[in-house]
Amino acid sequence: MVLPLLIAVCLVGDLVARSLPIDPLCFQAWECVTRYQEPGSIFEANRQFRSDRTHGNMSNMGNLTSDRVYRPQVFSTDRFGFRNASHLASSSVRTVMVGDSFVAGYGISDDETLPVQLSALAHVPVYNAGGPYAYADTVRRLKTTLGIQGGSAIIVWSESEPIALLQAAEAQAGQPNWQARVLTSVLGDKGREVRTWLRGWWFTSPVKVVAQKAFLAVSNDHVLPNVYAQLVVERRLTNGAPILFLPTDVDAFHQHRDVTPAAEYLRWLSAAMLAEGVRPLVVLVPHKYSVYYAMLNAAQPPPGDAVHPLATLESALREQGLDALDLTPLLQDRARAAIARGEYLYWRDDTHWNGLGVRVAAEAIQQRWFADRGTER
Amino acid sequence: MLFNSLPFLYVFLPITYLVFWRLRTPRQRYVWLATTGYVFYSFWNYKFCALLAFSTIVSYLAGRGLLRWSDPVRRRWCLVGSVVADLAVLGFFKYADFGLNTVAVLGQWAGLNTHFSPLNIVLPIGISFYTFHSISYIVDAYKGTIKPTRNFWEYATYVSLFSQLVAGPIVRFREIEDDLERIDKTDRHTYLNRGWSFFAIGMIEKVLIADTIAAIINPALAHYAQLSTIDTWLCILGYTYQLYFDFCGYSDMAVGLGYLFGIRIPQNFKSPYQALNIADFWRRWHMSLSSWLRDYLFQPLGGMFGGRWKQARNLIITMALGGLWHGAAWTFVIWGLYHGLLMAAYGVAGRKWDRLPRPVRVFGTFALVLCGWVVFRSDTMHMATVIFTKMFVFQGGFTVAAGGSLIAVLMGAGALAHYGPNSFELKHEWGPGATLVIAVLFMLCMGAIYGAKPSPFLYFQF
Repeated sequence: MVLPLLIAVCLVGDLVARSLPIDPLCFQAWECVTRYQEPGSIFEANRQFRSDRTHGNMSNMGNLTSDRVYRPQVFSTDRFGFRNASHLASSSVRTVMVGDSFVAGYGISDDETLPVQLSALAHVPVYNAGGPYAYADTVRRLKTTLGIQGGSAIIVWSESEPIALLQAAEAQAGQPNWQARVLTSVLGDKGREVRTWLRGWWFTSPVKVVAQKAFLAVSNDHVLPNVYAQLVVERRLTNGAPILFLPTDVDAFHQHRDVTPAAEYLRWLSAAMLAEGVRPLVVLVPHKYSVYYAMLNAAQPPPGDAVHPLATLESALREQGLDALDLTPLLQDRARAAIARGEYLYWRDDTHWNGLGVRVAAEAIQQRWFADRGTER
Repeated sequence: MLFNSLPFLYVFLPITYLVFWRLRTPRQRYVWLATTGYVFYSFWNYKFCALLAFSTIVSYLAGRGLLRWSDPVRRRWCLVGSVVADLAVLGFFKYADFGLNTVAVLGQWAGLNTHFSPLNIVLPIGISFYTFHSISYIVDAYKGTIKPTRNFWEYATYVSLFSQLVAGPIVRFREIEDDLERIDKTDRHTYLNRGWSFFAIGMIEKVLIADTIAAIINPALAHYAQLSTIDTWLCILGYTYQLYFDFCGYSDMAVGLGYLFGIRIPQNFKSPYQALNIADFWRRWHMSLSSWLRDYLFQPLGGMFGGRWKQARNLIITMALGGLWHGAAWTFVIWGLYHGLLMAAYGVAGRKWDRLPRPVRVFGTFALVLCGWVVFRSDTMHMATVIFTKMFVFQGGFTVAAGGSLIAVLMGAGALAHYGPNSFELKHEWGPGATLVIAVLFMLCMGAIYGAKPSPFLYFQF
């Protein structure tokens, strides 16, 4: 009878532990602040995460402890579940920035995110609506909650962001699934709250997290092979520093890519923004391999396209009369200069840019739309 | 759903167990066990429950026919119709693509344009096992070895009992008939400790031994062309023990789960790596399959009657088809042929073999079996050839990641497999010290279930 008792103890322990915070177990803010997602966002509302020792998603994915770059991180969200200082959610905002983790700020602190750095440079409050994939729906909802009238929406599209996912998110936005419908019909207004809590409780098991960390710790090529290492591509830069890439980014870079789906989607999205009375500004962000490809210390296969796809996409969007800015050449130039100083624009152990990379992007956006034309001042 | 998964341990097993013992009548218990079998099966692909139901209904009706009719023609129709229906389903889902591919290759050799697009049929999990359950039931009923049941739910329980549904053992109806008949009279406590003991041992064999070995050798064998001789030997030895502890672990868990419901599932592994010769090996390895092949294939072919050549032919055909049962690939057929040839050779030179010293016989049998596993593990004959070359043509180096751990685990696994008792030789009455050890090992299993990616049982693919 010991065994059923042990199983019961494990079950009860697991269920009880699910009520505990997981902050001490997280290698990144993202893991923690997405646990109890606010409907319409992917983060918890009014949440703050602090840690002095976070590291990148790639070193975690590949279980490569020696490649980790540790850094402190503060991650705060407002009452709507977006990454903003709380006062921004109750002030009048005319500029909203939508996009994925490059906008929300993966692996960087609150004061380093693109909206915050752009706000500081342009002296214009920019609301960080980064995170959820349904960009048009996000702006539509924020128009109501924040009372945005006119103004601009900066759409940040990163090169590796899958168009199909974005389109699916837009199609599903505002359509509650059957669980949400049941909970709302039974519990009324409390249904959303209960669903948020239940999701977080059900999908995040601290016991599982601890067990997975223990398993990763022994998957070190001594006790067990580190099979996770094959999930990332490790290269060296011209200065000898190791740098990690996503295999899909590397593979895609060396193949021809058709930008038509992205162009069509961004055209549709821009039209949706205009329909809401918001002016769309499109920023195209290259993935890390596109930026650092020419700075690797070993010869790589040639790119799949003679002209970088984001440059082609920028031209296509401009031909359609859309305001678009491709950050690729600028980031490549600045990254080359930074390497000479031993600095980087993207975290070497992560897919995302760091505070320095964000700064470069913020300056380019400010010069393009907020300085030359002065439309938002 | 895997036995070594949280949904099974936390939800399926407790609910199935508690409800089962709350029910009182045989009918209630049959219905419950049959239903939970389908629920268990539907976790892989609920659509294939229809196939399971089809096989069950066809065999049940054939059994009723055999019960009702004494006319030989009608009885033969019951037998043939049911077996053909079962084999047709198995043949289509498991062997159609293999057959088309083989015809295409043969056609190319003959210079014919025989290109077929693959049908890409998804293999329903466990189909080989429940088809063999059904066939054994009908053949035994036809031969009069068993009396077919009138109770549909009793038969449905026999086929879809979750503990043996997807990877056996291939239990004969007569082996659990008594327990099924007395399903309402069994005392819950009679086999409780024995059941949990079997289950724990099986879990430890699977999760701690087989999965640990797999975690080390699978990444290495994925790049088999780059392995050194030592690497290759370690990997093949690893696979030899992985396969044993994986399948034996599954069988022990199945036996344990059977006990929890008052059903005694027969032994499937009897220390096969302690076998003295190849025939002895097949009396100890996957016993339910080898006895099935013996009774329903080898003996109808003529068995040991006739001259030496006839016996050899029967053995080789039986083992080749047994190999094909494991999977629709030529590597499995060749593995089966290899064992058929070994069995035939033992039939011829068995007396000489039996005069060898016991350690030589045990080691020799193990070495022959190990060589067979090379083909069994290989995706193609090219892979098998490369591995054999690497094993026997020396190539320096030691590159297996975590090779030290592998050697340590292999030593432990080898000691258990070659010198340890099998789970049926144990009394399953544990003192406090042994209970503590099992509890600690079981908790390690739980940790692995939580922390590692779930690892399906190897025999699920067959």
